[in-house]
Amino acid sequence: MFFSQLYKNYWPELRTKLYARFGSGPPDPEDIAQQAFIKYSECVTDSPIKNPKAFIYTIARNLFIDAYRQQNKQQQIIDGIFDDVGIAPLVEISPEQCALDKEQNHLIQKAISRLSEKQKKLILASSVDGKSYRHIAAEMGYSLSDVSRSIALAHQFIQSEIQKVDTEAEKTFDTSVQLNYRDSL
Amino acid sequence: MMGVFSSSPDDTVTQQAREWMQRMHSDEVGDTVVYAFKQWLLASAAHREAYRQAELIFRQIRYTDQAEAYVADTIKAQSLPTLAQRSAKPWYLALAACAALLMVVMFKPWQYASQAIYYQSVKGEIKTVKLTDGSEVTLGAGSQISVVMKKHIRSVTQINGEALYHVSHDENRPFVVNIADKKIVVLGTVFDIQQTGEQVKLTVAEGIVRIEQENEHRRLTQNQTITASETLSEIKDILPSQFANWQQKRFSFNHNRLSDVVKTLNRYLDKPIRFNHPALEERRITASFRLEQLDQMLDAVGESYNIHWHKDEQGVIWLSS
Repeated sequence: MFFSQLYKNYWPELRTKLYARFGSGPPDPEDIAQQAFIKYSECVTDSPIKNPKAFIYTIARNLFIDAYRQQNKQQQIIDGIFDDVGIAPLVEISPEQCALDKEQNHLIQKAISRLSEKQKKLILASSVDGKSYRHIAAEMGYSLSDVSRSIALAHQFIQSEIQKVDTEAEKTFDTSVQLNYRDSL
Repeated sequence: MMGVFSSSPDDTVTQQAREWMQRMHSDEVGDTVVYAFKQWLLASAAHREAYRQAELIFRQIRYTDQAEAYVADTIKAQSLPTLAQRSAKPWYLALAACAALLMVVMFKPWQYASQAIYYQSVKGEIKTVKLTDGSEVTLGAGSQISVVMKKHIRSVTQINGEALYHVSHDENRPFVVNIADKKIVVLGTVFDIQQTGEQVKLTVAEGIVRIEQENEHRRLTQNQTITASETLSEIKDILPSQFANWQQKRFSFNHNRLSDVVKTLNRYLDKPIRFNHPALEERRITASFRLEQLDQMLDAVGESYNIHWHKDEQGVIWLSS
């Protein structure tokens, strides 16, 4: 679908959807919808996108999440350290990149959905809000060590779920390489 | 549910990386922790890779359906009660709408060869865009340019903010940047333009750049800078390390109106700076600092210019006299 046509067709729908989901703001759903379209138009030049509507919606909701997020000092410190020790910056993290990486996104969502309600709440307060464990503990009435342990287990679980899939993918790859090797003998 | 890890690989390095990740996100950490963390990272490439992976997942958790539900519920609870209360759209959003529509142009270049294309970055974002002639422009936070490519000229209008240009060489098509009543002409070179209120600062890293304003003009070469407001300033030399410092969120202001300084900083800050007393907006200040050191800068500026500041519960900084 051409961009202008998509814009014309999807704009009212997206706007209504965002109002329904996030209310009237702030941030203003119309501003977010505009930004989402711009980001979409930038992404679409790099690679074709199968389901533009779903993709634009995902960008929009990621922009909402960004707008909501508190200024996160720890994250800035970590970015600075990455720079200092020569780790590549986390370019994978932006509303549009995360919308593009559907597979990884799906894995993480599936893993989170299998956590307990308590762990879910804790991990979102930490990751989305950027709240300190102390803050979370005080707010939700848990002990600091309880918060720390629960979040640790949740992260371990999510990462192990992702790695499981990665390892399986590697195994498949190894086998196919071996088969090819045999064929060539 | 939990507790079924037996089949999943979780070696020591992965676990250590995750422990560091948690430590770094659990609370603000002191210098000793940061030092120890850096030592651990520097110890091996495997450590760095494992940490990057853990940090990546931590941040990806934010862009999930569960995070969406969490944010939607919270925002809705804080939402304004009626649509009627929403304020009028600022002009740049209209511009953003145009940008969205004009992006279409890029798919049919043969048809609209001389149409303007808008590029913009949002608040807090620094990004690089590639123009159709191969030139690259890095936009500072909340900055906008429009570009028109014609057969004999490449014309850019810098609408707002900072932009660093890497211009690809093309003798037959000069590259011109227009800002208000100023014109900057180049062939192939690297230069930076910062716009702060009525003041435009041009700095050159490579090649030759000509700046014109009314009847005046100057030529700048490598490591030179000039400031243009009502008239053109003297050309000054700079160190290469001072070039396009805004990329590292380092700013220097020279006799700028405080309202212009605040406008620039607010494009980079999550939480804005606001004025309690409008009279302060006209004050002119000179200061040089990193954005991370904003608090110290405010202390210093406060002292020399007799300005008070405080941060409210939402993190908004208020200036008063």
